[in-house]
Amino acid sequence: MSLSDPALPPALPSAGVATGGRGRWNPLLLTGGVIVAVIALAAMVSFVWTPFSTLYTDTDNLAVGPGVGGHLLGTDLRGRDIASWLMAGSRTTLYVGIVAVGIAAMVGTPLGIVAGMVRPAASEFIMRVTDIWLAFPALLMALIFATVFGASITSAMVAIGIASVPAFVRVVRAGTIGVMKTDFVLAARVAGRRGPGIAVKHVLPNIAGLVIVQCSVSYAIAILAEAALSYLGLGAGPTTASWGRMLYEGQSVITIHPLLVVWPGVAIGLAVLGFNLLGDGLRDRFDPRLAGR
Amino acid sequence: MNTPPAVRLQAVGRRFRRGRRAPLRPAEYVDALTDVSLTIPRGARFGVVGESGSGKTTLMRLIAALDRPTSGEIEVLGRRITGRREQQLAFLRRSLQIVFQDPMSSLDPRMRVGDIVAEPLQVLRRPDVPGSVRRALADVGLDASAARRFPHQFSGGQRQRISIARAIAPGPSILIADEAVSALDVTIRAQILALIEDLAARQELTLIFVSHDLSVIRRVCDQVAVLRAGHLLETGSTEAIYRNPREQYTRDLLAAVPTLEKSLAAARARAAYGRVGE
Amino acid sequence: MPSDATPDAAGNMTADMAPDLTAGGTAGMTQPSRRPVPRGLGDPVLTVTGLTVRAGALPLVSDVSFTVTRGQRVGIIGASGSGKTLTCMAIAGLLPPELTAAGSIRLAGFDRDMVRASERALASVRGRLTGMVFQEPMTALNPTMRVDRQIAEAIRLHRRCPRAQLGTEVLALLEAVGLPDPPRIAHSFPHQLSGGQRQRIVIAVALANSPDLLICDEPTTALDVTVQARVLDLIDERAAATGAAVLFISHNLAVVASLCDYLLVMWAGRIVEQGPVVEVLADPQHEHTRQLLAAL
Repeated sequence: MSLSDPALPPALPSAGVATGGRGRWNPLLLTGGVIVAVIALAAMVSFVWTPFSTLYTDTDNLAVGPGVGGHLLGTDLRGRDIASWLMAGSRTTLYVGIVAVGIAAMVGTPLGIVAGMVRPAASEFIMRVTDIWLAFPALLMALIFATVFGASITSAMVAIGIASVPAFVRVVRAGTIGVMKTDFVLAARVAGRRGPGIAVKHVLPNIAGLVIVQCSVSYAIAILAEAALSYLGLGAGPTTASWGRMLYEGQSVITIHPLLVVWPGVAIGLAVLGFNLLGDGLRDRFDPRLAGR
Repeated sequence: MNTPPAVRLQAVGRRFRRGRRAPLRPAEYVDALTDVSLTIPRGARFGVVGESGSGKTTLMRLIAALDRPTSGEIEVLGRRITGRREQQLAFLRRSLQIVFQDPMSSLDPRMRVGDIVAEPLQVLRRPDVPGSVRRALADVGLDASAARRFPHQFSGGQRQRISIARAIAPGPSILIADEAVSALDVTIRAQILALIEDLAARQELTLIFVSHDLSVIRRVCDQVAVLRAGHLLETGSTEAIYRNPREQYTRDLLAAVPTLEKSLAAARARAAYGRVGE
Repeated sequence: MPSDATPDAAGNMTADMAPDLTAGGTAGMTQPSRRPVPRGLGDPVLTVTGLTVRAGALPLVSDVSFTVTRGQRVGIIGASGSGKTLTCMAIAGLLPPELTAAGSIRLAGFDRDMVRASERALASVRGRLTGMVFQEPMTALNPTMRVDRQIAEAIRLHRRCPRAQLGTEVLALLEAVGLPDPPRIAHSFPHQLSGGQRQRIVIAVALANSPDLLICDEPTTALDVTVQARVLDLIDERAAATGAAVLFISHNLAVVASLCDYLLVMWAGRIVEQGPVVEVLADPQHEHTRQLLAAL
């Protein structure tokens, strides 16, 4: 019996056993990745080809069901091919993700880290400003932007992005405060590291998981917000393909032609699911403790 | 020969403000340290003993300039550190390092061990970082392959070794061990203590050992300061304090440490007193 | 139990500075006022046979068997990873779902084997036949509930107790564990008390229903040294007074030896040595026991 290191346990079950094998290529990452990839593919392809042009109205086949007149998924109230609109709409969906969530993360994360690292008085000040920011209605902001810059998807996205910043600030600040309390940050200070160095080397990697999850959450909100804005005419115009637009155009006839709402609804749901799973998967993938190595 | 002492504290106090209980009541204060004066000579093995709330952690942070005292002066290696900005403390960062208590939270879980040990070297802009990292890991008895792995892949005792490697890599002259073995099993404690002692001897370090465990302090330190509720109660050589404690509190502390002799005596008494063992 | 309560700088009462510690005293020393309770040759309170705990295919505890009789004090000692905590969890019915247990654990007064019992059945045992004291007093109590409510909850879960009587029982329990000013403590929240005080409350909760077996998993490891001695004394005294058997787990031989009669030494999931405390410590047979002794 080897007794060289009595305290070293013979073998501990790694986190992989307990958490069902989360790690390098975990099911979350794969599923989420596949869904997002499909959406991205549809978006790419739609630049060069869609079954019908999104501007084409098939006046002989208004609001028909799937398979009629060569329309794979049917047509909407104006005779536009649903499948084509879904494909083209995926562009908007991705655009929404990048612009809105990107703005929110890029602005909110540094602000949150600063709020978590400065003196309590300054931190409180930042949080009160954030609270006021949070209270400002996103819709109003979108309206202002639309008036000043003209209504378009981009103006809607920037408005939503700015409105999503407070959520990031709060979450990031909480995470930062937690990290700043640890002994390893103390050790870094003993080594001579100063604020910015600690923020980059220690805080950011340890709050990355929080930020990714918040991105997923904000993304879902952003897509639905875009849908609402498009309906109000503050976002995508009547000829711009957007799942949100499809949703709202179809909701008035939901009892007669339910499929008009189902197709974009399922697409939105899948996109939100895909990004959430991808976010969770990425968070786990980059956490060395869960990698199961 | 007048080498300045490693650390000198003069009438140091640290007061914390606590929130008001009501808007109209005055703010309340907690005095974590009151009027502490002591001198730690170079090359000493100095122990600071105290229980929770004694102020020993605050004292350690003040010496390391991780916190500022509300009164008094502190000198490290002959140079004043109180009232100085971080930019003026580069000499302190070069000469003083700390090994922390909790092996779980004192290493960044997101960083590889090699990067963790390299951090002080990088901040201090030392040359040959990989070489120093390898040497430091070897000094603490860890294989060079450990550098590629993450902290969670090591046991508590091994993580403390990594902490020690990080502390000695930049070649400090003062090493503070803050309850460095309290979170470890008794069997591992002896190993880590032996390691710390060995390194202190080989690298001619001044060792400041902070702990609540008297038996540990006795093994490692030649001088001891006893803290209680923020006050310095007594200080002197380890033997003097152990043989002849002046203060009642010190006597109580000594008496409360469980030792094998006492336990065996108690067990025998129980067995003889009519309590039938299995 | 005398206790010198002095307010600390924060205005909280800390009953942790004992003036009555003598230079040789830790738990179990001869005290004329204590009646010696004959124990050891009683009926078994706990019988563990061939306990094996696995994580998937990996065995973490292998073939552990021992018995605890009424009023007996059994200590389990080992380093981290030796399996002592898992053994204790299995006996308390608190194994995490991803671990599987095989073998047999029989508790007096419970007709089913605990290894195969359902969660509902186990819940009826915990707190009634067994009481548990864990290591970390900071997290063992609910921070949002006052102390009296927590103790009352432990009582009401297993016994019918009229409202009026509940208050008195809670105060009596607090007094029995040596807390000064029980009415004030009963009305406090955990964060207003010191570590030693919290651990005493945890012990009070564990003993609320006079269990037959008190399971302590490193109960004093997180406490200051002076507090440690007094809490050990408390466990000893309360167990003797209620006739409860004690299963005490630790990695510190001196602590275990000061309280227990019978010792089990675990390493790598197995019991490598066992016997009466005096014999094991005076004449250790196994290499690991010798290592543990040498570490002191």
